[in-house]
Amino acid sequence: MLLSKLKLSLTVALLCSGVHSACGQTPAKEQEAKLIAVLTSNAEYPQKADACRDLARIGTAECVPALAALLADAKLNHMARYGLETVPGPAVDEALRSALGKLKGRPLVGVIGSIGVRHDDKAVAALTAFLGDPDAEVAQAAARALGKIGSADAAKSLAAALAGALPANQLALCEGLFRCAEGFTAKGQADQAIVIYDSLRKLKPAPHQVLAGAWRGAILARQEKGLPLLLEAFRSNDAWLVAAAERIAIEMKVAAVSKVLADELGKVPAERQIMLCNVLGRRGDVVALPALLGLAKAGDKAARVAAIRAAVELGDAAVAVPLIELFKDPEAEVVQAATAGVAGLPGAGVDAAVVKMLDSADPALQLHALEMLRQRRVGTAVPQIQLLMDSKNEAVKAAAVKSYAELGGATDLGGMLDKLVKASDPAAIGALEKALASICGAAQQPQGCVQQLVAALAKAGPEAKQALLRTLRVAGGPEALQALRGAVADPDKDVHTGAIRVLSDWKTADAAAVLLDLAKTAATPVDKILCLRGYLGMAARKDLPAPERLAICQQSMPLIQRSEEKLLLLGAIGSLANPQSLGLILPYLDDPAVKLEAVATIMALADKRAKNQDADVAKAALGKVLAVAADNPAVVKRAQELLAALATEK
Amino acid sequence: MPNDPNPKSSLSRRRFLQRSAAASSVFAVPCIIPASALGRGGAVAPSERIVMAGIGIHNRGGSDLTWMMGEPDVQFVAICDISKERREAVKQTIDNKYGTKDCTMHRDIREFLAERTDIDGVLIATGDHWHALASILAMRAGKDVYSEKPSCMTIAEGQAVADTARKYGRVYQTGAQRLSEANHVFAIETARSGRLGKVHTAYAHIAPWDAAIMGNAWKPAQPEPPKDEVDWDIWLGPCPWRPYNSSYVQGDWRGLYDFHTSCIGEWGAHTFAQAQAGIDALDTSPVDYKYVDNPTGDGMVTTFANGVKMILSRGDRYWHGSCGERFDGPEGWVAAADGYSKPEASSPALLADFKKVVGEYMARTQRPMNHVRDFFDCIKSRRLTVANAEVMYRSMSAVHAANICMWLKRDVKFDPIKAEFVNDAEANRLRSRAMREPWII
Repeated sequence: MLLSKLKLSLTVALLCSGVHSACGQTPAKEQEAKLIAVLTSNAEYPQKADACRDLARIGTAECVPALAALLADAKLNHMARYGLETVPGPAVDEALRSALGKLKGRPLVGVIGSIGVRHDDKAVAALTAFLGDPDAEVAQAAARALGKIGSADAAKSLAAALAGALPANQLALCEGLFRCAEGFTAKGQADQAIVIYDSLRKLKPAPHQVLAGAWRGAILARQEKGLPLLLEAFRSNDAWLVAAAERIAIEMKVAAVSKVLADELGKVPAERQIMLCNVLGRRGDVVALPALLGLAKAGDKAARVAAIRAAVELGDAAVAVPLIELFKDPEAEVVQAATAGVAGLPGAGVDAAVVKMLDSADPALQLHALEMLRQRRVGTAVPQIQLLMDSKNEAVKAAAVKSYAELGGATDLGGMLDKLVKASDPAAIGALEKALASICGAAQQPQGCVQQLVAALAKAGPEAKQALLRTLRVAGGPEALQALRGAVADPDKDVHTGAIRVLSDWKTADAAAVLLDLAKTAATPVDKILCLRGYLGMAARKDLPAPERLAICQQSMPLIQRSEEKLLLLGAIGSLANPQSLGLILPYLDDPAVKLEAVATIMALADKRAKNQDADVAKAALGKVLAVAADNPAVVKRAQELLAALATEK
Repeated sequence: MPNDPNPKSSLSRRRFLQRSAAASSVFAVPCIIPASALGRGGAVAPSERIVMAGIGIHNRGGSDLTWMMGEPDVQFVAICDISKERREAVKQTIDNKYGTKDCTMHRDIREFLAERTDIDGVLIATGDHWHALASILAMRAGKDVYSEKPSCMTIAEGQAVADTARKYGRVYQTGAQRLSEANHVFAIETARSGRLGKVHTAYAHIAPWDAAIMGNAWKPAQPEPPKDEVDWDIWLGPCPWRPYNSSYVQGDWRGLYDFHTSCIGEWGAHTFAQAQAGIDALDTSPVDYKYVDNPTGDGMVTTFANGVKMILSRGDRYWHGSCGERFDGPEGWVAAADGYSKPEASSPALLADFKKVVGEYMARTQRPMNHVRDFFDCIKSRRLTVANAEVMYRSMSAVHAANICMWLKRDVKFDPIKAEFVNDAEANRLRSRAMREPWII
C-alpha cells in the first residue's frame, strides 16, 4: 500500500512536474499547499521524501518553514535540503543559517554544504567558526562552502585557517581557496586571485596537485605577465611542476606563449626540447614552425623526431618540403618520422610536393614518393606513376605498379594492358596481373574493364593471355564469361587449360551451363575432371536454390564414369542435405571403388536429419549400409541407432 | 610508499622527462625508452609503470580492467568497492594477472584515497550516480581518472568534474571509447574536414531500451548486510536514502531517476560526443531543444548556436547497429556504428579515403586508436585526452538538457556559456540535486 502510494506520488512528480506542466490542471500554489500538508502531516518517510523532491521543482517561500522544520530530522535532513536548495529567495538562506547552531554531525555537514551551494555571503562568519571544528567532516564542509561563497572575507578566513590546519583538512581548505581565487578571476579581480595562488604556491608541505593548481592559477591570472613564471616552471627540477607547466602552456590563450617557448628550444637540453616540442605541437601556432624545423634538421635524434611530429601537428603545408629533405637523413628514426609526417599532412600543396619527388634521380626518394602517394591516395599522380612502371630500377618499377594498382581506375587500364601484352618476364607479368586485378576488383563498373581486357586478349602472348583470363574472372560478368568460353578453343594448350581452370573457379552460377557443356565435350580426362569439379562445385553454393543444386548433381550423373569423378559427385551430394540426396547415393554403395565414401556420405546425411527427409528412402539407405558395411562395427551401431530413431518417428 | 603526499617528487627529473618523451612515441620509433625497459623482453621497469587502482569494478569495469591490464606499462595494485564479494573477485583477477598477492582491498573511497598516495590513476566503473563524485574525490587527491560513462548525473556535477580536472591539472578520460575507434574517427574526420560540404545535421543514437521519463519506485526492503559485506550507505552515496535491496547493488538501478540518466544518457554519453566531434562542437552544447511527444526523446531536434542540428534517434534508420552517429552535408553523408565492419557513406569515393583520413588524424593528433592507451599516454605526457573532462561536460550537458526538455514536456533553450537555461527558472532548478551528506562536493 505504502509502496503503491509512493509510486503514484513519484509518477506525478516525474511526469507532471512544474508549475505549467502537462498536468497543468493543478495550479502551482495548490500543488505546493498539498505538498506542504504532506510534510506537516503524520505521513511516513517515503511520502515526505517525495514531497521534498517535488518542492525542489515548484517550491516557493511558502514551503520553507515546513522544509526547514525537517532539517533537524536525522532521516529527512537530506530531503529537506533537497527541497530547499533550489527554492529562490532569502527565506531559505535564513532557515539554513538558523539551523547551523542547532545541528551536529552529518545533518550539520549537509546544511553547510547547501549554504555553499546557495553562495550565502551572510553565513561567512558562522561558517568560519566551523573551520576549527573537531569534526573533520564539518570543518572540511565549511572550507568548501566558504570557497563557494568566495567573498574577500571568506578568503581571509580560509587563508588564516590554512596556516595552522590539521593535515586532514588541508585539501579542503586549499579547495576553498581555489574556489575563492576562481571567483575573483571571474569577477575581474585578478590581483586578489593572484594573492591566493601565490600563497598556495609557497605552501609547504603541499600535495603536488595543489602546487600544480596554484602555479596554473598564478600564471593564467597574470596573463602575459605570467610568462616569466611559466618559464620558471618549465625550467624547474620538480617533475610535477614541469608537468604542470606543460599543461598550462597548452591551455594558455596568450599568443606570445608559442614565441617564448620556441625561443627556449635552442637553449635547453634535449629532454626539455622534447617537452617543448610536445607543447608547441599542441598549441598549433605556426610562429613556432621555424624553430621546430630548425631542430628537426640537427641535434639530438629524439628531439629531432619530436620536432618533426610537432611540426606535422601544426598542419601547415609548408612543412612538407623541409620534411621531404629529411628523407635522405642518415638517422632511420628521423626518416621514419618525416615520412609518416608527410604522409599525414593534409593539402594539395603537399600532394604536389610529393609528386615532384618522382622526378628525382634517386630511387630511394622515388620509392618514398610512391609509397606516400599510395597512402595519400593522390589519384592525379597516376600519369607520372605510370612512367615509373618502366623504371630500370626493379624496386621502383614494382612500387610503381603497386601504387598504380591502388590509385588507377578503369580508365587508366590502357597503359598497364599495353605493358602486359608486351611483357615476357613472368615476374613482371605477375605484378601487372596483381595490379590489374586490384583495379578491376575495385571498379564500380567492371564492365568497362572487361571490354579492355577482352580487347587485349587478341594481342597477348600465351602467358599474358592467361593473366588476362584470370583477371577476367575478377571482373566477372556475362561478357567475361563469354570471353573465357571462347578462350577454351585457343590453339595454345596452356591457354586452353588455363581457360578451363578459370571457368571451373568462376564466381557466379551462370558458368554452370558452360561447364556442363564443356564436360560433355571434353577431349581429355583432365579437361573433363576440371569441368566437373567446377560444375559440381556449384552444387555446394548456398546462394543457389536447393532444387537447382540437386539438378546439377542429377545432370552430371550420366557423365560420371571414373572413380575420381564419382568421388566428386558424392562430395557434392553430401553438401545438399536434401531429402532426395540419399537416393542418388544408393547406386554407389555397390561400387567397391567408392563404397566407403558412399557409406560415409549416407551416414553424414542421416546424422544431419535433413528436413522433410523421406523416411522410406532413409530406411532403405541405412538398411543397405548395414549390408555393405557389416565389417565396420561403429557404422553398423550408428546405422542401427538411426534406424531405431526413424522407427519411432511418425 | 603510501601516505607520501608527493610520491613522484622522488622521481628523478631525467626519469620523468624520459616518461614524457616515451609517451610522445606512440606511432613511430620511441624517442627515449629507458634501457631497463628495453632489456626485459618488452616488460616495463617498475619505476616507469603507471600505478592504477579500480573503483567499483563490475561488468563493464571488468572489461576495462582486462583492457587496461593488457598495457605493458600499467600495473593495478588496489581495488576499492563497497561489496566484499566484488573486492575479492577483482583482487583475484589482478593477482592472477601479475602472479602476486599484492592487490590491496578497500571499502571506503575516502580512506582509500587518503591511504594510497602512491597510486597514479584510477579506473572508476561504479554505478552511474557515483561516477562524478568519485572522479572529483580522486582528482582532488591527485589521481588521474578514467571514468565510465555516463560520467555525471547533472549539469552541475559535470561542470564540477571539468573544473576539478582543470584546476588540479589532472588527466581525465570518460569512457566514450568510440572517439578512439577508426570507424568513428573516419566519420568524424570526414565531416570535420569538409568532405561533405558544410555539415548541417548530425544524428546521434539514443538507447533503444528504457525511456526518458523515469520512475523511482523502491524495491522491497531487505535486511541491510554488515558494512564489510555491502556498505549500503556508501553505495547510495549522494543520492536520497532508500531501503536496501540487493538487486540495486547487482546493477538493477537503470530507469530510476536517482541513479540513471535515462535512455538519452545511456547512449548519448557516447554518441553526443561522437556527433559533436564531427561538427567541431566539443567545447559547447546545443542551445535549443525541441520537445517530442513520445516517451523516449526519439526524433528530438537540438540546435547549436551556429545553426547545426543534432537529432536524437532511437532506432537504426541512420546507421546499422548500436551507438551510431551520422553527418549530413550538401555533398554527401557518412555514418558509423558498432554494426559496421566499415563506416557507410553516400559514395564509395568517400570510403576510399578511409586509411588516409584515419592516418591523417593519427599523425595530426598523435593519438592511438585505443581509448585506454590514449589515457595512459596522456598520463605520461600530461596532454588532454580525446574524451577529456570538458568533452564529457559539454556532451553530458546536452544529455541533461535533452532529459529536462522531456521531463518538462516543452521546448527549452540553454546557454552553454553560462551553463543555464535561458529565462527558465523551472528548468534551471533541475540542473543540480542536493547531495546527501557527507557526499557534498
